[in-house]
Amino acid sequence: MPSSLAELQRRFHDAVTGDRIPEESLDVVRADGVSPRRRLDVYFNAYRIRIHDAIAAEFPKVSLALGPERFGELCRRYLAKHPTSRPSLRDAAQHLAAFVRGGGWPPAPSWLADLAALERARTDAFDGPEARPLTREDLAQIPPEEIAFLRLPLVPTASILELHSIADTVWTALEKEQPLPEEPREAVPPRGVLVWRRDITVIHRTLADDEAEVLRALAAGATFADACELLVQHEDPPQRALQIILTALDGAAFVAPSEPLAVARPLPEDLGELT
Amino acid sequence: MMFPRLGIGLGLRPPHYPRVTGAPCPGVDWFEVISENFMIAGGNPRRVLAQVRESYPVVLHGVSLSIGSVDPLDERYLDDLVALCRDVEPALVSDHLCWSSLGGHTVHDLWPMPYTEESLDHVVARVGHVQERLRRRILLENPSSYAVFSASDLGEAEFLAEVARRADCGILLDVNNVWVSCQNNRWDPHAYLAALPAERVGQIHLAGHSVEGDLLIDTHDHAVCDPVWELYRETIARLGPVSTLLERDDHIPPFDELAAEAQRARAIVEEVGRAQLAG
Repeated sequence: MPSSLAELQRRFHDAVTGDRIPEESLDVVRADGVSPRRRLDVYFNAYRIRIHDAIAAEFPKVSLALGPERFGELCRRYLAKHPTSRPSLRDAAQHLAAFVRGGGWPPAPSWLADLAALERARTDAFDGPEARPLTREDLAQIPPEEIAFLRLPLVPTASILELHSIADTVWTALEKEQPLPEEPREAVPPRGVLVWRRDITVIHRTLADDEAEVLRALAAGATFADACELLVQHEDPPQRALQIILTALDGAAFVAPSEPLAVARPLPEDLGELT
Repeated sequence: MMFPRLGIGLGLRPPHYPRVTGAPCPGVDWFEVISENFMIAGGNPRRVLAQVRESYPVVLHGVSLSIGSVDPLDERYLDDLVALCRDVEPALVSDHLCWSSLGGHTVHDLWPMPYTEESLDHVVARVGHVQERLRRRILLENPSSYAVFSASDLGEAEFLAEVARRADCGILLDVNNVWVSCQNNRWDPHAYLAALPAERVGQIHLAGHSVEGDLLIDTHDHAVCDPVWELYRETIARLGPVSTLLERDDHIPPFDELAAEAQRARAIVEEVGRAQLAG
């Protein structure tokens, strides 16, 4: 009795994607002059190599930092836990950072999960939607008395990661082909990293603590005045807020509005000199 | 004619983006892109594609349709493909006669179908659904294969021809895959070509392969070998000047070197055409 299509596909799938090709699966394909095991081996190996290569392309720094053997082991363990389920190979390792962070790969350096998260954020920025960035010329059109209530959302490719390790330093060392920094002996204080795309170039920058706080608030819809309130411990909050905003503005990290810039409400006169 | 004849094309690959967008590409009539690589919101690949599309016909070639799987068709994937077709207005849309998912697990490979009547009915029904979603004919490519299901009772070419007739779709004939599959499975490549309905072959692929012991592997990392060029000559003699693409996905040479290799296909098309006119 011939097997059904579903049964044939299940037998082939299980043989090729399992830990090994079981003897009892070999009769699913013909010999025709070459052993069935040899024939199934081609698919067995291709499945792993293709996804391994896609993950390596997506996480080049993780791959470089670990070296081929350890990276291969990471991929094998990750795929066993998270079989690919999306049509795009770009999504093959979408959970890699969480997998490492969750202890999925015990020999991981302390910065590995953050490095994977940083690389994934860079990929997301690379593929993200187009948007015209806000410019100083756009900003100059805002009446001074309205600046305090201006909202400045980030470009849609932007994200702010919170790192708990030296992953950003490791990324830079790998980029410059320098030796990796030593593992810190003490816990690393959390810090923000802004990732975004300027034209076709993906950029990330480690933020000062107050800068990360302000940019997160602006991304969530805060106004310039709200940002100043976050900086009350600073000697000159409006000046520091303006400095943070202009740095991001010059980096093309704010999105230009499709309509006139959003202003929350009329500005009290005493904030009118902020520009 | 069921499908447009576009001439000689090349696959648009990232290492060639600066060259392709920076100057005209003499000798290249059209470009093919991998559909899934452009199912993204924005960024450089979409910009390059838009720029190329301003000057050239573009063909979409997918690898994740999984037309033969017993899993339900991925409607979200089809949504993305419909949207991409709307943006690109491709001259042709193709994928592979294969399956690449089961039980929600996508394997990112092109696994061969069991060539049975049940498979045939299954694939024909699904092609019909995809063509309804896209509102156009698609083309299915013969995969390179390293194994044949023991349960198969139809030949691959016979199966592909019957799918095309019953589903009213086209065939993307990969001549290298014909050679690779025929060598690996002890089939006759000339009989393979003869079994295909000429009017349904809307596109041809040419590529290189590797020899790994007793099997040929479709690696797309070499120049096209002489036996495949000879089989291409026979194909053109049978089918006429079908749109032909030179594929290279690994060890990608400089663009102008690849474009020069593609001119060998143009020369064969012209030689065969002249011989047929003279004969």
